[in-house]
Amino acid sequence: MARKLSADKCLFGVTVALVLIGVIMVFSASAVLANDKFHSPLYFLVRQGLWALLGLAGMATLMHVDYRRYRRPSLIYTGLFVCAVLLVAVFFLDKNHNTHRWIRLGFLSFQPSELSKLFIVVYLACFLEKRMGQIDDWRHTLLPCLVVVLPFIGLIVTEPDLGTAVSIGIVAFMVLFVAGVRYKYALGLILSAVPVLFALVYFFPYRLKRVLVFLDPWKDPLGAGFQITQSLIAFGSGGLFGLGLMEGKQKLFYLPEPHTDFIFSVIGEEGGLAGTLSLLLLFSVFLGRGMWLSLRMSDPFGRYLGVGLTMMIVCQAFINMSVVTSLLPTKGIPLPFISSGGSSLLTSLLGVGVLLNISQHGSDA
Amino acid sequence: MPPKSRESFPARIFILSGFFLVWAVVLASRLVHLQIFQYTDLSAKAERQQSRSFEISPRRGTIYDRHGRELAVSVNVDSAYAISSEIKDPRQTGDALAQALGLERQAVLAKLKATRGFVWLKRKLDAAEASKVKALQLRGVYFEKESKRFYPNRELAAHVLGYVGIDDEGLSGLEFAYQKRIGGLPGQVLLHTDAHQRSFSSVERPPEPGEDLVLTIDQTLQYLVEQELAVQVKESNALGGTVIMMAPHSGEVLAMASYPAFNPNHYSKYAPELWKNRAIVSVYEPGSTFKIFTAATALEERLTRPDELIDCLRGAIVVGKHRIRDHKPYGLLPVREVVAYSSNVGAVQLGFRIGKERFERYIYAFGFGTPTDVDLPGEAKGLLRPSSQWPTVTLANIAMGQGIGVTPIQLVTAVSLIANGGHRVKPHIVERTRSGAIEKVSFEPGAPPGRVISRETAALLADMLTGVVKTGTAKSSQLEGFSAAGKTGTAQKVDPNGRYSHTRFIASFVGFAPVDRPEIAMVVTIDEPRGRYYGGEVAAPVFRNIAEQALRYLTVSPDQELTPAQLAKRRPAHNPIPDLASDEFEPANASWEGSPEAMLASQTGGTATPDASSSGKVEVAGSFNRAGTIEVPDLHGRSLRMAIVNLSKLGLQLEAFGSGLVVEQSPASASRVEPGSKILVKLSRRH
Repeated sequence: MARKLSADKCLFGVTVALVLIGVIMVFSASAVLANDKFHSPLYFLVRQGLWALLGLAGMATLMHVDYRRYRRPSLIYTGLFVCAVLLVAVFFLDKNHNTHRWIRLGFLSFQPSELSKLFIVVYLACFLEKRMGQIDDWRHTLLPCLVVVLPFIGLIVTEPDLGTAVSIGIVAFMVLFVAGVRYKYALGLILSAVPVLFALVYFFPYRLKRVLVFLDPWKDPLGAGFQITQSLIAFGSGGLFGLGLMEGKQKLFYLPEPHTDFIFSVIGEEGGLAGTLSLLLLFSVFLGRGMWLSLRMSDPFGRYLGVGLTMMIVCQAFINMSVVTSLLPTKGIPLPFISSGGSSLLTSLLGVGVLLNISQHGSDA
Repeated sequence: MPPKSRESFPARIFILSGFFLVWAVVLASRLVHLQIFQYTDLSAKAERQQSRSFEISPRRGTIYDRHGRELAVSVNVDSAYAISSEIKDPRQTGDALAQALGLERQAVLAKLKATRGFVWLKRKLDAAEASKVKALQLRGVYFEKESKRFYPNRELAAHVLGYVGIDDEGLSGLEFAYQKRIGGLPGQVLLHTDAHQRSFSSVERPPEPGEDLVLTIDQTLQYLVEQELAVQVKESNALGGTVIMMAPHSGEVLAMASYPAFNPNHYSKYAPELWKNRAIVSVYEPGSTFKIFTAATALEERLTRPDELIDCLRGAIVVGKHRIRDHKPYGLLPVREVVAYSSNVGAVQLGFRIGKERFERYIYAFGFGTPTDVDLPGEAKGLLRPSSQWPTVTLANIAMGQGIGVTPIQLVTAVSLIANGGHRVKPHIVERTRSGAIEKVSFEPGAPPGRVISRETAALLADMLTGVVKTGTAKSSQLEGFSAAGKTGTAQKVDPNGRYSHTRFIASFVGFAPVDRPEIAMVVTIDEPRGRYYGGEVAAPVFRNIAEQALRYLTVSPDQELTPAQLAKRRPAHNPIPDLASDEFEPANASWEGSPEAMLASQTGGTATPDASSSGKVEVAGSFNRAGTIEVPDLHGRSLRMAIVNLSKLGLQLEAFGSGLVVEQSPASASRVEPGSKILVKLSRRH
């Protein structure tokens, strides 16, 4: 059995740094907006700060919970069931006309889709460990996985929240990939996802528009291309070292959602290339540490869980950064740790808590 | 554990890490591209959308006539603009705006859809449009005060004043020539705006008001001149005409008119052809009027004397292959009669005595062939070939006023020289500029431009030209009560085939009065009169009608007894200037009775303005001239335009606050004030 190690200090430090950057940038990006909407510049700062404290507390707790306890099927299936119920419930509880993503409990609001990510990763790690010997038998491994995961993705797509759905799909695929699914099955999965994605885009005009805008954002900078061109303008006017914290102008109603999905643009404007590359570096270090500690694990559950949780955060971060720099079509997806939003921050920090516990069990073998 | 998957795990971790590494590199290069290579472009875009610099237009200087009457003023009016992003329903808003502003519905909608931000809807609205749009209370539609140029006397002196474009920039006339001085400097407001167009900081430079211009033009004389010119052009079915009246000793232009005229308040509604100031741009062959200068040169060079007999060869002289004829055959004529009867043959012989180089030198000295540099833009310099290129026939032609092109302003300047005893004068229209309380003399006489002909020659010529008026071709220019000197001209226009026309003429008259102490010099040209076309028949009467009234207005004492014939048929039918000596004259304050429409219709000069500044030389005292004060009229209920017109006629100035109709004024009506005083009025839309 692996010897007891201390928690990964690097991963811990990177996480705390990202959370702090997030709190500061949420304030910078939202102060004017918050004052405008809620008559208090501190509105989003206070919320982000509280969620960060709650999240860090959760992370510290989970750090000390042996990850192997999550193997219990009763826990996993209960968790998945609760998530499924909540995901169905949002359709009735969220009064919003167009999207059904939130469960509101007075002061707090929560996205069940975020919590689902965690449980799906745990489920996949546990299930694949059990079927490790038959990983090449698609009927006994791939099929059950898809039967569990696809309904969740389907529910989230219906919310609609294509961004989160796609990122769950990608994380699931990557866990399957590292678990040793044959390359030809992996390719098959990708190929079968393509027509589904195509249909989801092609038959929903607003998604199709986003993709077309992505292909040429400057064609209609005042209309459909407004969001993305404003984001590019924010990055561009930041230059090498940026305009300075709080000095950005693009967050003043030019950038859509400057404190959530487009917070990286605000970082680009106020922190310049120095700021954006630093953030990219922090996420890359996170990725490296996550992969490294997974590699050190001797038990498959630990490995898959480590990879899955790392992917859950890094993949989403990279997608967000690619979207706001117009490398990918616009999808509403927050930047982990940084974007304002409690459920995303809490889920991410809980995930890191589990990762930090895993890091104590690795072996140098 | 099967060894296969045991080994594949690290491999797949590496593949996955590699995939993310590539992704990270792509992201990093994208960021470098955006933040370094596109920095200039994108930060410029940011600057453009985040800050908008507004210009605050400065107050444009007022243009006054020589007695402080307003010829061009600037008033604040509303311009409407929209912030498109604030308009919820562009179609509905566009419809309402189109109706209120009298614009095309599609055009308004296109404007609203063109941008998310600022767009002008219509600039410089009239009061009715502005109140209509304001009443609609449309979201996202705003008003900005802009300065609009207003010419209270409409066509009066339009060619001199010029006009301004929508951005308050002078496009013609004095407005153009003095743009830099009367335009002022616009203020600058830099607004940093967020995407909701709310400003959150601004850097400002206050606008600097333009200087006021005080002209040498006398509004009353200008009106008189325009009236008389218009009447004659219409009566003779001519294409147009021009009159310039100049103070011969100073070169001050007292009046300058071109007909047909245009209303500079709406200049764009007139054909561009009408905008041109014939007085300074039209170049024509002067014909007989130029014989004055032939004679002047010959006399100054002592090549002849007024009573020397010239053989006019019974009406024809052969020059090379050309035969030059007189309109009537003459035998021996003294030089004074050569001028009086306008003998071509006589003039040609004087020309030959002078010779090419000498004649050329004098022609330039009189001011022909070069612009006079009057302070108006676009002046023509005329046509004069160097004497080295003159064939003999050209010398002969020029001596009788053909083969040379002159402008009316050159002619009147040259005649002023003869009137004032031989000094060149520099014609000018702007006398002073005023910047707040600081007055600047605009026209600096500088070094005297010098004498061209001697006092004696000038006197001889004046005498000869008086003869022209008394007994020669210009008898119809004889004045009632005043002596006058002058010369007629009837120049043939050149047909498209290059030959002189026998049907198209320019009738002209140049002259001055009174002869001994000239107060006015004048040129009159009538372009293509139909029917009667001789200068003596068409142009000379205009001179007479104007000069008689102008001299009385200027309170010049008559130097001639009225002939019984003149006494019999006193005044001409149309008489914008009252006879100051007669009792028909109404005091200025009496003119406030009657309807505003009648007042407006009569425009300026409907009655003469009592003129305090000229009262010093009054010898024929007018009953109106009471201690030089003016009674303030009652302006209540009048529009701004009416108030300006009314006050400017009295030589008073107006300072207005608010918009609408006059509700208060200070000083009160019936109080007496100094000429040129400012009357404050408050306007309001409440009735």
